[in-house]
Amino acid sequence: MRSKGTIGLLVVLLLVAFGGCAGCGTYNSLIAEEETVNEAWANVETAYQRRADLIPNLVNTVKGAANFEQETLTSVTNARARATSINLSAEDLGDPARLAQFQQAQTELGGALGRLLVVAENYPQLRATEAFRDLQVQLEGTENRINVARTRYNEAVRVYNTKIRSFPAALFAGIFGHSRRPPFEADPGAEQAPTVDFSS
Amino acid sequence: MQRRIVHRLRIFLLGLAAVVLLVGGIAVPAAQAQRGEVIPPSGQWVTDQAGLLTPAETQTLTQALQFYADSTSTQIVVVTVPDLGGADIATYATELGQQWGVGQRGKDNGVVILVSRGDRQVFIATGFGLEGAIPDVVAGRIVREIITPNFKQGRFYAGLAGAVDALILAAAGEFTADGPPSPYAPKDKGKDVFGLLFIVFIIILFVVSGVRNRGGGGGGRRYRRHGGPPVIIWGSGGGFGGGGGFGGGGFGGFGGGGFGGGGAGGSW
Repeated sequence: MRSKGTIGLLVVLLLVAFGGCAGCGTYNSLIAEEETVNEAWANVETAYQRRADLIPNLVNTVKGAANFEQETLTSVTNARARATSINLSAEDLGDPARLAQFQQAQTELGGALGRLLVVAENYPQLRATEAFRDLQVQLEGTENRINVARTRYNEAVRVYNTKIRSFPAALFAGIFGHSRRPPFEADPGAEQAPTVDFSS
Repeated sequence: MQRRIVHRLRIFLLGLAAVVLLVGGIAVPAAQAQRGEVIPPSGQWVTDQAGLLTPAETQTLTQALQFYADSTSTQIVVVTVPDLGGADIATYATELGQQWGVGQRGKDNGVVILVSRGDRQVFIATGFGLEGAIPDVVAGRIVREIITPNFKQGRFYAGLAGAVDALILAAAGEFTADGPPSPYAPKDKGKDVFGLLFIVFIIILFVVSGVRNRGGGGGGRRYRRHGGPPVIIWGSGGGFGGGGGFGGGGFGGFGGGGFGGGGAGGSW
């Protein structure tokens, strides 16, 4: 009888220990996934920042072209100011409204840039300069990096969201304040505009 | 009594193990689901699916790239495809570099030159680690000044070999964005560098194989990446000689370098 009690106790202990280990493991992997998401977000911001940093240079180069449409330039400068004023920290990432706001501002900037490049089509001398070509290449590069960073962010978010909703992490996720992160929504074409216009 | 308890315990443990396995199975999500599909790694430096190069040209290019990778650890791969199936070439090239893992892990020093015959587009994707040495502007100039002019005339090898030369110089810090916009005629100067690389490569191959033969077994075995003496590589005209399976005669696979969308492209 006594041995039965001992074994029962042993089993309970084992269960608790096992449960604890599983909990710790799950918790740690949740943290790891969360960090991946945060890192991916940092890359997204870097990519957008890279584009914003290019704009003053672009505007100056374009200004040099005889009476370039002032309106287009102003809209790019304004859109840049709006876009760079919105910065999301890691804590803001769970808020779909904030992300949408960020995305909207960046999309507007992308659209303004796209229009600028379309307008530039009318200035053959400008387009022929090496400086403008290089800037085009750089802009194209930032758009590519933005695409890559966004895709990877969504990928990280998908893995994270799947994790916090599946067993056994779902048991702990709520306790430790892990909530779903919204991904980037596909843009209605505006974000793509600059990329498309380049190659022509 | 004792026996029964042991029996029960055993059943309990078995059940526990089953639960653990089950949970483990659920917890592993389909991590790699979406993401752009790219062609599977060919394990070769030059993958000419579009048939733009002759076997001899492929060999020459392969040997130069192999030599370059062996001496600097920077990996450059050339991939041509018949078409991209509607995919964006920049995205495809970046994704291909990332998934193949071109370049060394941590250094991220890989380059992918992707050519789509049907779309008449080309893209040079640079790994994270090379974005400083080969900024987009430089990659863009290489495309504009070396690749597209040659491709327009159907000289695919000249364009690709010239681009590889320029990339190698750029990675060494010699081909900078501020330099004179050299047309880099692939006929004269470009070929020289290439020929030199080629000759050095052959010499090294012979030296290495000589040393190996003398050394015999033992320690040498770990480094047997080349399938055999250079003659076999020549004769195989396309594939590689040597042992079966991936890495038998080519190289030990890519190093796991990362790509983040750097580089530039153009159309011809």
